[in-house]
Amino acid sequence: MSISGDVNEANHGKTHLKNVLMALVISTFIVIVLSNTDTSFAADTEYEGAAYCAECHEDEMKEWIGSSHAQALTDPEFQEEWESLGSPESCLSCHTTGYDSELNEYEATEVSCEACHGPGDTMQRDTSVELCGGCHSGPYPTYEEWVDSGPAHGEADCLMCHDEHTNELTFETSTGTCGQCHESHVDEVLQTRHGEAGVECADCHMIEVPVDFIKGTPAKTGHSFSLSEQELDCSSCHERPLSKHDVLGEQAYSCLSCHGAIHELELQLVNKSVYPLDDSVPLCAQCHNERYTAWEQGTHGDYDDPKAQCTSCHDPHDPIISNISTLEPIPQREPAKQTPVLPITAAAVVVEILLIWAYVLRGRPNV
Amino acid sequence: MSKMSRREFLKKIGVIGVFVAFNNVASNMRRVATPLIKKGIGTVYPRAVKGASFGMMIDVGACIGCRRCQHACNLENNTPDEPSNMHWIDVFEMESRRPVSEVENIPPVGASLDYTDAPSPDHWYMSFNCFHCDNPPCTKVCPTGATYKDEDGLVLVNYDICIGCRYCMAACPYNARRFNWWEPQHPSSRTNPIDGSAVALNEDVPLRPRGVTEKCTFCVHRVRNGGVPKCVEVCPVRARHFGDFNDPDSEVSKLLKTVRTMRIRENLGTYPKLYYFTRGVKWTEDGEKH
Amino acid sequence: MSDTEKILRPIKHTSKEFYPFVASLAFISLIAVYAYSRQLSLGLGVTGLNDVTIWGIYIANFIFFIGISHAGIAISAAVRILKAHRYQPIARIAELLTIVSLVMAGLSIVIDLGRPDRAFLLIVKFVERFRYSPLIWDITAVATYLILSSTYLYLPMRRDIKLAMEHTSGWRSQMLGYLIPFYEEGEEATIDRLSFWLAVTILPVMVMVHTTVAWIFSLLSSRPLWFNAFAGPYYIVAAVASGIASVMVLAAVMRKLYHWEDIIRPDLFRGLSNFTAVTVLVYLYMMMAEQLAALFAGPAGEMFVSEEWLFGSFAALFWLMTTLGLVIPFLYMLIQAFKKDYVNITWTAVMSLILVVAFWFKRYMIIVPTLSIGVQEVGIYSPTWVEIVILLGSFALPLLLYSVLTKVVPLIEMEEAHHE
Repeated sequence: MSISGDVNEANHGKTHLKNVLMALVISTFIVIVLSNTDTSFAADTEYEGAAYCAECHEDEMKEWIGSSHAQALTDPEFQEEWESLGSPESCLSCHTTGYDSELNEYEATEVSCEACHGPGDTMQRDTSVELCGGCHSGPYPTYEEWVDSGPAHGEADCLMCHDEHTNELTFETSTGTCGQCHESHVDEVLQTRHGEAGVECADCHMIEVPVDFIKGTPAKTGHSFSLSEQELDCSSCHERPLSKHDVLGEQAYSCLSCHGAIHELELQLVNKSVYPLDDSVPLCAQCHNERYTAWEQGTHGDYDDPKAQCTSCHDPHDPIISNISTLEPIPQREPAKQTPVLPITAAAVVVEILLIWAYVLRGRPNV
Repeated sequence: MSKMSRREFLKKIGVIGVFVAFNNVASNMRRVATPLIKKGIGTVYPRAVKGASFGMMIDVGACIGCRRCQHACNLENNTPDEPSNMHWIDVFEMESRRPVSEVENIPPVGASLDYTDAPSPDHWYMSFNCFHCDNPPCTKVCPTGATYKDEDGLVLVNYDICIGCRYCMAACPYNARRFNWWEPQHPSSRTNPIDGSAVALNEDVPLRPRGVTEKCTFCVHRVRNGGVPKCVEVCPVRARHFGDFNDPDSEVSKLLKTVRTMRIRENLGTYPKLYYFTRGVKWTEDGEKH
Repeated sequence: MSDTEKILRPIKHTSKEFYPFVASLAFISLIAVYAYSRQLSLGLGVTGLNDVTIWGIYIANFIFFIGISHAGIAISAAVRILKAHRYQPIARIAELLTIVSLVMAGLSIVIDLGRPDRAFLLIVKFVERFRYSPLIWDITAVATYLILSSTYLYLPMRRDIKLAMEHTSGWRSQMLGYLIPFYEEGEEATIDRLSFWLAVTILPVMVMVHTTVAWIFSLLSSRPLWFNAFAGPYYIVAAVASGIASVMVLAAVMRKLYHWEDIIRPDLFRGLSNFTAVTVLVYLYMMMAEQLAALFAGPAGEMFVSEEWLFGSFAALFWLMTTLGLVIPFLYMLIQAFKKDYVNITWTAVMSLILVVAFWFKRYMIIVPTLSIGVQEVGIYSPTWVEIVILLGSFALPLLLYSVLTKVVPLIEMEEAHHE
């Protein structure tokens, strides 16, 4: 190496130094900038409140504001119930957002955006049933019921029926909602009496029973769907006091013993055959087989119309024909007038004796 | 001379007197004998059902004493009205504390026939008609054989042969027989006591004359044609059951297997065909059925 | 006058008191016939009978008359078989009573029938029902008894009628002659032998008559106080007692009326009275035994009826009948028996009459309480005027018949009386 090209060599040496310096400054700048950035976009993971989210998600906010989630704490009914129980803290973990049980503080009232989507800018998107089930369980065991409802409804998650923000049914009525999957069924039901009367699927298949905190029994939210799990009470709509036939089952099961044909509620026998309401004989004959035999023989029933239906005389809900009148007694023969036998006979005997004595025994001189 | 004419006069008076008296009595008797002769009615019953043994069972727990059996029997069998007030079925109101088996005499001592409001809570009701015994004391003692036990177990009366000595009535331990003390009055139509409609005389049942015995026939005109007696048919609480004891499928045969029965005065060896049983009291105090 | 003439006096001569007496009896009988015609016209409903008490005065009458009919053969048998000739004078009186009362008994049954126009059926169906029905047995026995008794009465009477014929004249003699057709002299020996064997035959028939009558009631197992094995002797004792008592009454009356004091001697009455006393005593003993059994341990029915007899609706009748009607005459006859050789015919006759009436009531007591048991008002059977009038007639008619017969046939065997 020589020092001869010293000036060229001295110029090459100055450019190389400038490059290294530039690299150092830029990388330092990048490091500084990067070290000041979060993994989420907003390095801000504090609870901000619903208004914070609404700055961008205004539509969702409008949907949410009318929902029941938006009144989870301030709903007057809830307040009343909660206060009557002594305002227990355990309720708040679901009825508020970001509840800290140790500090007994919550970040926001109601079930707000951050309750599901995480605090601040977290914006997690979890559509799993477990997310809803986190609160909708325990005393209101919707999640447990749904789990137990079997594989069929297990495929339908919450969002299939409920809008996530408005909480309403996706199809206005429960009938429409259920009709997403049970289409033919719903079509059938709409033709029936109940369907035409506007009775909805949920009216029978999702009967709610309130929770009893004092006894400690959880509510029933109806999400078991199957009829046998429901506390059916036909008398909530139908005024049909049952007398004697109420022994057939508790509450609605008495009704279903006869009106078993689902939805049309015609008469259904044990062997599943269905009969219209005005052909009651086969149904009644199932239990009242002696009476049926007599009816067949023509010895029970309306003697002017021996083949009349059972229901033509017996009210099926109050079948006993009570207060059968007592007919007039057949008058007994009047006892004959009392003839005073003894005195008459005594008198006759005395007269007889007197006559004999007077006439005969005294001795007549010339007879 | 005067004595002679007086005697002759007296004789003539006597003769005339006797003649008048005889005529009077004779005309009375003629008035009487004519209906007696005209009413030879020809008792005709349908042919007996061979091999049958008809009987009846009554559930005394179910009977509510409504008397429909009584009235229906009267309408069916043309029983005469006033003054006979004939009826073949009696329904007695008995006090609760009296067991069924205690009934020894019929009518039972202390039982009431005149009750008006049934069923009464402290009473039960027992209805009687002829039991059609298998060893009937009445058919043995009849001097003319007018009453007899037919092949199908029914004890019947031939109204043409009955001389009205009432020995069968003395022999019957159950006072089941009735006598026509008066001329039977049959209005052209009778009134159904339940709905007031007019009921014509039943042509299947012979009319009985005065002076003969009659009794329940188990509606022989019905049962020999495959039916049941009218009382069994009309009972609103189905307390009466009828059938053929020789037929294992009949109602009464099946009942014999499932309920425990008793008969009245069994110690007399009459083997009555009317059994009493109960499956418990079937009506409540309010008259509601259990 | 001789005995023969005394005996024939009633035939030859009729006092003027006879006619009103017979006329009144006829009058009562006619009223009874009228009452019966009412019954024929309207039915048995005119009586007090009903579906529970089906038999009443008529059947009581029937049993009573059958009972009285036993006197005839009892006395005749005593005379012929036991050779108790003391009672010979009243033998025919008793036999006549037998015939008349048997006829009345038959009439009583016919009166009781609901369909008397069909009474011939009893004969038509006789053979068929003979195996079964006690009524048919009874009819057999009574018919046999009647026929045999009539024969037994008539055959020895022929001799006396012949004698009467000889002692009377005119139409009477003619009429008496009609009564003895084919009379032969010397037939008495045959008749005597025949009568002896007839008496022997009639005795068991007499027993069977009242036994079959008793069986009508005692073979019904359901009737309290009816159903017992010893009913035959029970009824027969009553029959003999009442029969002999009625014979005593008749004999005393006729003795007085016709002045037969020497023919019908007091010792005859004494004998009859003693016998009656014993019979009544036996009957009282049987009654007591019956009531004791029923009261002490009787089944419900027996106890009920017995209580009705002794303490209930029939108590007045029962105790009156027993004390005044049975016990007092018995006591009188007993005392009379113990007084050696003493007899007061008047009082004996009066006591016998009381006995007869009491036995009628006893027959009534047999029928009615047993039947009316259980009816709401026990004793609901209340006889109506029809039954009472027919009852009176049923006593008037035999008396009438008897009285008329008194004027026709000699009442006492004259040969014997003559040859004594």
